[in-house]
Amino acid sequence: MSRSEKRAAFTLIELLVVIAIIAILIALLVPAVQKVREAAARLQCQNNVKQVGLALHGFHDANKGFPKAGELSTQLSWHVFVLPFLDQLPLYDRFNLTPGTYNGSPNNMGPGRNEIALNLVSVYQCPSSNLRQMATNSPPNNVNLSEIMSGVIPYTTHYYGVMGPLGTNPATGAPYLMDPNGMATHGGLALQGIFLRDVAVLANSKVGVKAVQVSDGTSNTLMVGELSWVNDITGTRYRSWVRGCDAAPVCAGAKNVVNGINSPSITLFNEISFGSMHTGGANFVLGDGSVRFISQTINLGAYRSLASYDGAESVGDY
Amino acid sequence: MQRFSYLLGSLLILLLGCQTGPHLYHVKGTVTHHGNPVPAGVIFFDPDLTKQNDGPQGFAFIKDGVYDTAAKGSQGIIGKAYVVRIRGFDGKQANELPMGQPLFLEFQKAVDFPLQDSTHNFQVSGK
Repeated sequence: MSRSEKRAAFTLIELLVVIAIIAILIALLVPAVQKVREAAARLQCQNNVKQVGLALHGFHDANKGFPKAGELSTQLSWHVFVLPFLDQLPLYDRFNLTPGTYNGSPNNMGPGRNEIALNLVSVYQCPSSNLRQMATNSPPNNVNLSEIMSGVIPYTTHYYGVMGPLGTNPATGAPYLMDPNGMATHGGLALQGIFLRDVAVLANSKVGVKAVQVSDGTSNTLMVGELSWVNDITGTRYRSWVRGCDAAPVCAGAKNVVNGINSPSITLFNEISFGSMHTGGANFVLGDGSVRFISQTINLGAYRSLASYDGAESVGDY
Repeated sequence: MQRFSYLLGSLLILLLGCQTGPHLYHVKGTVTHHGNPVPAGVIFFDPDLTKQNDGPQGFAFIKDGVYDTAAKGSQGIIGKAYVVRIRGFDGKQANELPMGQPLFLEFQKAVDFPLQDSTHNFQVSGK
């Protein structure tokens, strides 16, 4: 009894020491927890791009070829045509596949096209990025008003087809093949990637490139890449996930490989660079279905070489 | 305990090893168009494959006529032969024009960079 009377309370110093120790422990713990959360999100993101790669192979098995980057007749993206292979057949069945624009009237809904992008397809989004729709509040105001439906903004995607490289082919010294139509305003369209642009001769075909045409080898060719970055200087240009290509030619669901990963390439719509909110690179699925995290310090020549399916370049380690 | 510390040490070295890429040098300088600072834009540094130089692409934003690859969201270069590409804009943002209207078509110039941080100023003329 006398002992407890003697020490009825902690001294101030003791309390301060205990608080200081707890503060140090929390300071150690919080960043670790954040890192684990980002690691989990990154893993989920890799898993999503893997699923997309497998769905493209499912599409290839069923249709004897990879889908075109987008259909000119419906302006729908390849994202729509692989839905049945992502367990999303009911969603696919709701699409209007008759000729027309993706954002036809009334209210830019399609109908049966853009309005379906009001559904979030979670496998098309990377959890590391918090931007799930076109940003309308970003200062650069990169808004496409003609796809907003009575004030409601459709969901976007964070995985984009690789349309191929632009620049000089290191193997031949010649420029990579491209369609220079709209070069100054949209960046033209690369023609040597797994995702091919739609043209009149392909109008009745569901497919563009076939795996047997991939002469660089499917394990040396990028198929789908992650484009999920958010940049507060440039803003972003995310669009409806159902939107494909039009005759302009503008492609929303597939991009040219011109500039490095995470580069501020945003001014030309067809060459918005791949990149992510992960540190130092972005996830890609290759033609063989394998997923690689490619560093933003990859050699530019190697990166462009990987983007072509028939460039005959030799790509070293990357 | 000692074995554990060896394990920890080798893990640390392994992790550090993963972090290192090629050594990148930084470039900074000014960009002018007809003598006026370019309000907004992007500068890309493409390694010149025709001169057997392959490396990471360097890039930086141009803001009020200055750029620096050491800034946030930028990347440096490995030096030697590069082709510099510059896109300049008037900085008046509008729908679908994140940096405003283009001031000129893409400006390109081949530059031989030293193997150290350097300063390069670019004067663009014409449309």
